Amino acid sequence: MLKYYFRLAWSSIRRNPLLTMLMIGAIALGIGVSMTTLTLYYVMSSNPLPFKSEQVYAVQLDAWDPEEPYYDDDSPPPQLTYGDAAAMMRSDIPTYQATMISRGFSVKTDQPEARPQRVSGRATYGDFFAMFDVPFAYGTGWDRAADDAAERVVVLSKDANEKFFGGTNSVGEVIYMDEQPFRVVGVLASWRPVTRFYDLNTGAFNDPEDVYVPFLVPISLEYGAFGNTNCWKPENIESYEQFLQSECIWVQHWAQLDSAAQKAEFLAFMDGYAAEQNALGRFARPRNNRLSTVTEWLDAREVVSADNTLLVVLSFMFLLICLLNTVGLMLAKFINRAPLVGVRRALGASRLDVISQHAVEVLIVGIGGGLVGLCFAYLGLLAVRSWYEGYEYLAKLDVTMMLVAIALAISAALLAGLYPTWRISRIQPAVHLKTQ
Amino acid sequence: MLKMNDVSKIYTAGLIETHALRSLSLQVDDGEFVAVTGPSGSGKTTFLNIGGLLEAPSSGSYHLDSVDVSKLNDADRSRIRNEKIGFIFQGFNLIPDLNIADNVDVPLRYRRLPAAERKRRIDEALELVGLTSRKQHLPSQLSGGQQQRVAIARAIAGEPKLILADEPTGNLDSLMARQVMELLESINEAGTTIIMVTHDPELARRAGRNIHLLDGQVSDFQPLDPPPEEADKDIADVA
Amino acid sequence: MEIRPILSTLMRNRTGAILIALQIALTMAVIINSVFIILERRDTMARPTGIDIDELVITRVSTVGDDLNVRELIENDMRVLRGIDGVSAVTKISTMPLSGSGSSTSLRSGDQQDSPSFNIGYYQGDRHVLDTLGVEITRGRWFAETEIIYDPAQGLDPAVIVLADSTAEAAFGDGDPIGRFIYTSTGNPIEVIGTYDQMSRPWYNWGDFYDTAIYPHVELNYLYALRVAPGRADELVPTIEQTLADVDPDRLVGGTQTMRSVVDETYQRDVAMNRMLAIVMCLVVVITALGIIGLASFSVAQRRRQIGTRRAVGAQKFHILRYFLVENWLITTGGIVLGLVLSFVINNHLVQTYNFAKLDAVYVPVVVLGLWCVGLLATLGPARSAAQIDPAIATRNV
Repeated sequence: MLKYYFRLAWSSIRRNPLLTMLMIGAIALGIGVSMTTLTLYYVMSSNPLPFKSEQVYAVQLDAWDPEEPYYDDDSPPPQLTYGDAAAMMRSDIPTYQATMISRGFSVKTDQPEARPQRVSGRATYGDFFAMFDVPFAYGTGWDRAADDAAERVVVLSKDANEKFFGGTNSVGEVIYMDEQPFRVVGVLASWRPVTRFYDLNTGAFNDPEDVYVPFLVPISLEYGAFGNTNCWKPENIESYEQFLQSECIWVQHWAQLDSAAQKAEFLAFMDGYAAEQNALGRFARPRNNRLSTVTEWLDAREVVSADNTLLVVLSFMFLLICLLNTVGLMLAKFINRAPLVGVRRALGASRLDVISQHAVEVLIVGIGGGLVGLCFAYLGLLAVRSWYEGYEYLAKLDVTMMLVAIALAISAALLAGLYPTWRISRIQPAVHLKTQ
Repeated sequence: MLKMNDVSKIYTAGLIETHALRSLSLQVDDGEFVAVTGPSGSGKTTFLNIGGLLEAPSSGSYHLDSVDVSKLNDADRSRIRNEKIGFIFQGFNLIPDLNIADNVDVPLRYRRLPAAERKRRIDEALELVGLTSRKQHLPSQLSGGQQQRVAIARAIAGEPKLILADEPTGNLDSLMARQVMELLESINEAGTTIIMVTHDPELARRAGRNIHLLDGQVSDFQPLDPPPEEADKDIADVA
Repeated sequence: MEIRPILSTLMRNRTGAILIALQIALTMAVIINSVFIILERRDTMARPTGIDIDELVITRVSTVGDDLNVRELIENDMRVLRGIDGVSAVTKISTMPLSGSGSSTSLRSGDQQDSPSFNIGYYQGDRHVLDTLGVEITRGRWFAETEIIYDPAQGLDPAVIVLADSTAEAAFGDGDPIGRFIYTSTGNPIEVIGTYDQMSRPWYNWGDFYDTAIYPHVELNYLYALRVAPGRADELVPTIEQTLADVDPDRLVGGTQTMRSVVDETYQRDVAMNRMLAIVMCLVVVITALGIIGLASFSVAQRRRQIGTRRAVGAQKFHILRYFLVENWLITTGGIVLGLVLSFVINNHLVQTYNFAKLDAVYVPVVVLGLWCVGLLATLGPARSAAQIDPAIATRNV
């Protein structure tokens, strides 16, 4: 019987190809537009560290201006002072923890002809790699001893290793960064979290860094960080030492806490530290220290901008318009056919038969709309990629989103077909049999 | 075959009530060929709609083939229409998108018959109406008389016990009308009960029995009751 | 005119009319909110920066090493850069307007703790900043060569400063700022020696866009901004990068780009947002128009006999045309009223949740007018075909 319904639907579609194309086109456009914006939204808001969503935390301490909160909603600042981060590092409660900053370097290899090249770098603790599940192709990170001694060791990203060593195992080789020799201890495998969640200062959706060095290396070179340095306190800062001791916030700090007990213990440690500092005249604000999961962190920092949310809302309104349109067209088409349905009813078609027949037709329109809509979404994302630099990883349809698109199109079409199908199934056959 | 008792049908449109049938009682036996006549507005079509289970009566009882069908739900009524009743309309009501064979196929599909059985019945029905060679044609490629013969094939393909015909020759010229009439008569002779609504006294005369409706009731006055011998002779001529 | 009978006919065939009215309402809400955002962003992007964006190229050198003679290195670079054909001026400056990175600080207009304070975005640069960027001195004077400090000690506050006019106004109101002092948060005095007309902050979304100042400080890692001959900016980028790289092959030269591309990158998100909104807006109008055409054609087809009857009893073609246009106008207007409410509800939500600006009612009449036109144009086709219906249809095959 289903085959029969398909045949009837097909002949009905062939009878009004323009109307059918209009319906498929309307659904496809609605799907295309809403899937474009939804994909962006979905990728942007996806969890970059899904397997540790309840283990890895952004550490926030509120040592900000007692007169005025950092954020209007009283959230603690997104970064720490150097001194506070160093105090956190002294705790052995977290499974892993790392202070970090972003910093560029000028890199030269041993080749005499080579000109220096700019690389982006991250200065952090050796725990960074284990905490964020960073995969290695060769070698490993470095240990706490290397951290403490500010050893000149470096981990290269896959791309940087490609650039400087042609992709070979470069562990043990030496590269010169800002004219200092660094020994390569590890090379990463391909690693590209969608959001660079651990440091949102310099572009949330940028690539991770090219090179990784121990945190104390740039400190020993008296470097500042690339990114934001915010100061609230009038202080005379006339040396690097004074800068390190200042109330300026400029470093990020993350910790892995595997259990609720561990988390509570560390939060107590943070609060205890704040109370201690309070006695010394710091941390004058109400106690406001925080451990945020990656998702909470990304939400609070509004990584998915209001623009993206608005586009999703507007595009779903557009989809709704397309649906209303389809309802109208389908209703017109079905009602036009009422006399024929009357005949079928007289010949013994039950209401369910009529409903099934039209539902199959609606389904075909939905599937057609979904497939064409996928093409539109693909084009839309292509356009988005050409409009935004660095959106290659964001404006991409994955299998989930494709299935969502098809499912959305079919449910949209079924929704649009619901009323017309119901209407046509309720017609009085007798009314339509008398006149041609 | 068909037994109506005290059947009334009232249509309400806003505040106005129209009594299409008023306590109609009648009976049609198996194998009869009954013509229902009456002026416009006498309730002929309403009678046919209720008899064909297209509408439910407002009150009264209706037994079809000894089954009380006046209280059935929509799905059951659809099933009975499909299995026991064949319709023939004045306007043919063929489905323009479907070819002749597929048109005859429509009621068989709704009976969920297997493909081979459907094919056999389609072939038989089309052969009976003499349109086997036109199987693949669309209704629009056929003359009015041929279209009505397709409609008859469609009505009999389901092997119904009762055929309801509503002015089956109303849109046809006299030659074609006669062919259609002859067809109906042969179907009736094969045992199928036929109830035909018509306002044409010529046709009514050829039926076995006439029921005259007036104001929604059976009227005793039979204006054009033909002498029985005449009718017999006509039928004999046809045979 | 016969609005009442049209209305009563509409009420009896509600579904189609409701569908169209809902579409119009949603369309209206989408369009009003989109237009509003587009125009608002366009205004933001159209703000002048105060500098000659199209005639500037920036580049950056990083030099590593101890005990460098900063001044000598910079002067040597500048000499080489000035020698490039098409380059008319060069300056060493900490950052550029709209580049997205820079510094800001709070200053006070008096030396008391409670003196009024104001926030500025500040640039640090050499003597050539204003000539190169195309900014005019409005009062006082520019830095003397002797006032420029090369490679200043960390945290050193300047002795003299040049303010933007709007900064001077924030500090001193209408009074003459020249020769007066402003104070750092730690109380160090800085003498105001001059003012310039306009130069925006490095960040585009910061309030008090034009409250900036310039310090006479130069560091080695600042960028070079070059003023180039009109129309030659793009073409000169590789030459500039190569020339600078050739000065010393051990130095890293990079980030050479036109100032126009810097600004474009800054506004990239807004431009893309506007494009997406514009596309959605166009599609919405097209889809709605097609929907109106579809349903109007259907309603004409449903009423062929009725129209024929009207014609038969004496209605002219014009009357039939008018009937359908008026009917559509009524539906559209119903949708517009609903859409107005919806638009403001949505905008209100945006204002409260996302800090969007409050909807300006001046766009509303334009959008309403536009939607009326769309509705009437879309109905015109079906209405005209209705007017062509043969009166004889009324008597044909009953």
